[in-house]
Amino acid sequence: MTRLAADRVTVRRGGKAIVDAVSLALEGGQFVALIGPNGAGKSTLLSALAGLLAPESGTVSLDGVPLARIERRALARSRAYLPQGPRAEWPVSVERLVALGLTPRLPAFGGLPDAMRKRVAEVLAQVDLAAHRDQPVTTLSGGELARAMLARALVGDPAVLLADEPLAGLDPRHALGSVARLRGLADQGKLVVAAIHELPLAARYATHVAALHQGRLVAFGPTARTLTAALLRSVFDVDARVAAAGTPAATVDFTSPVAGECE
Amino acid sequence: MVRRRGWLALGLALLLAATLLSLAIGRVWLDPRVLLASAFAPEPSLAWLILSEVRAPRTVLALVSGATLGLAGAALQGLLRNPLAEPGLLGVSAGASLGAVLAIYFGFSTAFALATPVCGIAGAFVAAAITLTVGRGGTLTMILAGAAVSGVMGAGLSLALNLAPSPYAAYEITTWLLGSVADRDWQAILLAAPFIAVGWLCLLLTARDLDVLTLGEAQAESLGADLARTRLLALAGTAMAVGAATAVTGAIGFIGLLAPHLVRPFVGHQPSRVLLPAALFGAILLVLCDVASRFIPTALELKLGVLTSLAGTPFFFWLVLRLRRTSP
Amino acid sequence: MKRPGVPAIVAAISAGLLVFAWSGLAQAPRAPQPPPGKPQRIFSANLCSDLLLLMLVPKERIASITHLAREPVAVLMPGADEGVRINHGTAEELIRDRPDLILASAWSTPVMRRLAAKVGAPVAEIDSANSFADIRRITRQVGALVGEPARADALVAHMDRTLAELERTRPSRSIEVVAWSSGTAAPGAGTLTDEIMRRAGASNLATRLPAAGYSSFGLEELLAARPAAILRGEDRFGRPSLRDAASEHPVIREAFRGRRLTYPESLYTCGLPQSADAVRDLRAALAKVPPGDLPW
Repeated sequence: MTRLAADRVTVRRGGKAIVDAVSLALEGGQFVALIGPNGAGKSTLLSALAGLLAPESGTVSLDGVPLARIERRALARSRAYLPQGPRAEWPVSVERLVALGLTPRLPAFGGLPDAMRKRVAEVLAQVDLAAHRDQPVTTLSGGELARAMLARALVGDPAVLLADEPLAGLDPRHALGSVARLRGLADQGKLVVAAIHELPLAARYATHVAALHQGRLVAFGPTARTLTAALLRSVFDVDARVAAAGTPAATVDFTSPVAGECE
Repeated sequence: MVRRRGWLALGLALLLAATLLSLAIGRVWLDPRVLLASAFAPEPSLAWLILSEVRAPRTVLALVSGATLGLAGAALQGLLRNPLAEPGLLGVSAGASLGAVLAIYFGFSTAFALATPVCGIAGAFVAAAITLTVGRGGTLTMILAGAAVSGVMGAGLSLALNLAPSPYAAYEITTWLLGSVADRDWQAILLAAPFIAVGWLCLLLTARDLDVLTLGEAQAESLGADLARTRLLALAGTAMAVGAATAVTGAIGFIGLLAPHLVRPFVGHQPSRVLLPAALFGAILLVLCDVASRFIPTALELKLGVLTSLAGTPFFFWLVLRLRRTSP
Repeated sequence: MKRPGVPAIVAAISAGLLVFAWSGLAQAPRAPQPPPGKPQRIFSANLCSDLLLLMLVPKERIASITHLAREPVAVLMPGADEGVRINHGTAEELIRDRPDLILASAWSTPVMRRLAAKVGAPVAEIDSANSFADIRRITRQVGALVGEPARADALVAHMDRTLAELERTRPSRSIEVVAWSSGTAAPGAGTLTDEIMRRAGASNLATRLPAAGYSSFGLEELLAARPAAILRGEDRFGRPSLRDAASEHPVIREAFRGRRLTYPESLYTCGLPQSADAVRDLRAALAKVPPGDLPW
């Protein structure tokens, strides 16, 4: 079982702690919704968990090995990372973009082996993009591009997926589809950590919730116990009604901002 | 795949045609049959001298510098994800010219033959390092940094030539600012060749990381790309190949810009697949420009860089206009 | 080229070229009357008049000569310019030297005339010589201007004796030569270089080119034209330049082995009484060129 652990991870920028002594122990089978207001440090924490950002102090370890000691390509094979609002820089085809996710598995020279081409086709079908296989990615709609990027992250079959706001910009149908897919990955035994602003979806699909506020981890635990009205009030400054968190019937209704205004 | 092979075959055929044209055409008309016969009977005759000592080195130099510029342009565009990146616009060619001029006019190269390519490389490296460091953060910043570095290097070049003890130096500024492959000898080419080869190797080693950079830097790093290494390879490769080539030819603009854009649609825009075809078309373009420079009847032969600029500038404007339309 | 600010060095080097270009335009030089008495502070702004001046008047009467003169002087009359002040043809130097006569060349006159008006000295335009007849005329002109006509006559007489002697001993064999340096024009018909070649007993390949005067040869054309010898102007000492590298292109070295000669450039472009010696030297050098056709 994959274990990803953060031990008192601190990241500072300009003297200010963006992530402040966060300790987390995550494992395969969990779909962790990382929630928190803008500027809480979600993206920074995700980068640190992905090993893309060396924390000032503290360590992140995968299966007990500090990330800094894992070889780049080996790390790339076992965890995938999706930044916020990923963009394609060249008009490559959708198939080619997704295949880039296989880079850490490619032989040193030569093109894409047939088995890998099949794998790409499979993942494209999963995200509903099979028909767009040869289309230049720059002509995809925002939602299509987000799905293509998700397919890129999944194609290498990583044990850990770290995604920064993977649902942003998706229409309800594709948001639901994507979040269900993330949950499905967790059910297959993978670890999924995603920064999510869509609290109702988090309440329904996430197995666990981790809440960040001003760089500190203020709550972490199974969704049913953790995602409460009290947490939302303290983290987001909003009054909310939370019902049946952690089940497919969960609802989160916002009633009013506590202090009369929101960010 | 078949289509791709077709383009490759067309490219190679063009390359062969351009090479033959370059060997067959010069200011002195020689019957191709005589040239061909002399190629198989290497003995001192007019045809053999012209073929082996004038046209062959000139053609090889045009091929090699064209390929270098195309390859470096493709690698820089991939690395920076900037369609306007190329050695000329980034100031690398001007830096290399300055290095070479210092070596030639202040006597280092008479003392030590390797000084010309080595100083060219050093100049290219300094220029590229400044542009890449100062110009990080967008297409526009990079181009402005490149223009500034080009300006400084060009001024340094004029200053160096004005200070140079040779009374002819002032005339020769144009050679370095405009570039030419005419009347170079084998020795200069052979001195530069190893550096160019190492530079090509460095640039080709960036191929896979250039591909993942399609996803942006964060995803590229998450996929195991070592971007610090990639940047260094691209920088060193450009400096070595372009620096050494420019030390022989002078600054030749726009080939590095044109070649990658020409081939990109035919290889599915994948940055790694742009590299070699861009080198191929860079070579074809430069040889054809050089052949054209011999065709145009002027008293003193037209400088190659004049032609590449004439061909490249409208294209540059077109790119800028297109960028303006597509970027916010 | 007439713009002020163009480096003086370019202007002076191209004097030969420009004089040709100007020859159709420039009127006969407007020689001002020499000032009463001999001029005592002569300012020369022209390499050719520098050299003439050094031969015609004692150093004390020279205000300054151009910086370009140093190397030709070292070749032609070593030490003659010792202690003579140098100028770069600038206004400041003109004011500093307070000359009573300014020797300029035809092409530099518009600028020089404005400057001269400021210091109140007459300006004499000195042509560049395109023939030995020109040398006679110019040497006498400068001699008259500086108040040393007798010395000028003596120099000319000496030159004419040398030329007459050379005429008597003209060799029967005439070989074809060219003054060639990559990237620059080869002097053709109507140039002093051409006359020097003819008097030395050679014919000038460049006169076969369609353009009269100066025109250019590429490396290939030079090979195809097969001159018996290649002449290269030299008035500097091993200073590195790209032009040197190109004129020593290995194919030239190889194809014209033993047929590459150098000549003192100032005697060919300026036109001095010593240009007659240049004819003699060239004839001697040509005699050593291997007879017969090029080996290839």
